[in-house]
Amino acid sequence: MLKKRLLISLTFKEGVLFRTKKFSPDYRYTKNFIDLWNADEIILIDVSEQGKKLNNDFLNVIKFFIENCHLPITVGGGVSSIEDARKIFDLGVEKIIMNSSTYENPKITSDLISSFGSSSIIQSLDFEKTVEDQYIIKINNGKKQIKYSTDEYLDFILSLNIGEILINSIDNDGGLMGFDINLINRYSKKIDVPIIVQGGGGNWNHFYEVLKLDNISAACTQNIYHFTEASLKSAKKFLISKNIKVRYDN
Amino acid sequence: MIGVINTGVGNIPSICSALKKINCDFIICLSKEDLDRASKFILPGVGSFKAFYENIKKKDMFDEISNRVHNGTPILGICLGFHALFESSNEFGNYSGFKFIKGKVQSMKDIDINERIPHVGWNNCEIKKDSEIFKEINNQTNFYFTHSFTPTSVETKNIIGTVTYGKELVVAVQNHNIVGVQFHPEKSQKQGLKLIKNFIENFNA
Repeated sequence: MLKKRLLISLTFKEGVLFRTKKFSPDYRYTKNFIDLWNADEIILIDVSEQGKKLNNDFLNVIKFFIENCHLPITVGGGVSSIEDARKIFDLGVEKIIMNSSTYENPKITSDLISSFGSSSIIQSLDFEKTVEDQYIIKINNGKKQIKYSTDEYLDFILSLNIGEILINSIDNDGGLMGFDINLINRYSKKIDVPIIVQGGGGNWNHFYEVLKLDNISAACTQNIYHFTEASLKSAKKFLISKNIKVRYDN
Repeated sequence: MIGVINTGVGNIPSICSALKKINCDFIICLSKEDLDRASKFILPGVGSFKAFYENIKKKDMFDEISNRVHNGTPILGICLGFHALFESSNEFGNYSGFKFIKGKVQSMKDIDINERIPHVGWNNCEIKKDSEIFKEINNQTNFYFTHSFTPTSVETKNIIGTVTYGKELVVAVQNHNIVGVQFHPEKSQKQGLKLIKNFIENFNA
């Protein structure tokens, strides 16, 4: 039986690890803790100002993780061409996350899918709640609203034969108050590929609340306090006690 | 010496960092001469079969690998490299594989799986038959998968491992000196590294 996944997402700026809060850097810390043995996957995101361009600082970060973690690695941020993607996959990365580039140039994402296979490409969608309790999707790190309705855009993304969808909540990012269950329930039914949720996980019960949903394959955390061997073990023990099937090897 | 065949599509560095971790000597094979130096092959691959196949054909490596494996060189296929061991794949067209093992690689969408595709994440492998590559690896160990294609019409005698995802999928096969796994041992931490080590040290079929 396929296990529910607990993912760790790390954000980097000019090669330095950051935690973000409401999409702005919160504080920085080192990457010395990298003993992520009970994480199921690691996501590395570049939020450098240097552009949306893939930069060497970030490529070195990726190399560091490939050499030190024998775990699946997913990379996002700054991929705007097949060449960028090739550079990343050539380092030994499993999957690439696309976000704004798909909106700006959908052909890139469909080309990536035909070159690297749909299971190698994830589309991340940043949702924001409006005052009317509706949801809009934003790009460019939450700076720009897209011109399509959320449903229209989601249909379009699914038509590309994307491998996975990451549902991210801008409002709940870094708040540690729990995932936006309304958001997740509202859109997860129409998505027929694996769904990863992110934004708001603050305690183990928050993870349980989303992982118990049939439609949700994985939950992602950016919280530094979740990045220790002990805390990942305790998270998994908690989930197992709640009957969630997760990987827990030794 | 282990030869890691450079298929031009991904995960070579992950395989290499796994081999380094278990202190194994290896070369990355880009030519016939490189193949001559290797006593066992690892055939990795990530991405689409089309790109994989075109790359390996372009490099004139296809027949060279095929001949050596027919003459007994052990080979471990991983993910796309696993798919390449079979007769054909219909991923983005119709491509013939090495035909080392009977079976056709098909989209999981075409075989009525009532589950989300791709199959991505950790799933427990049911060991169907003893194999040196599973030495000291427990039945039902979790390995990391990410794929949307799967081999079908595989003969039972070649099936050494399966997982359940909607239905039973063939995820590990062996035919004499040829072995392949759908999952990524290089990304499956300790148990995965053990499997690679088994191929290197214990696999002498």
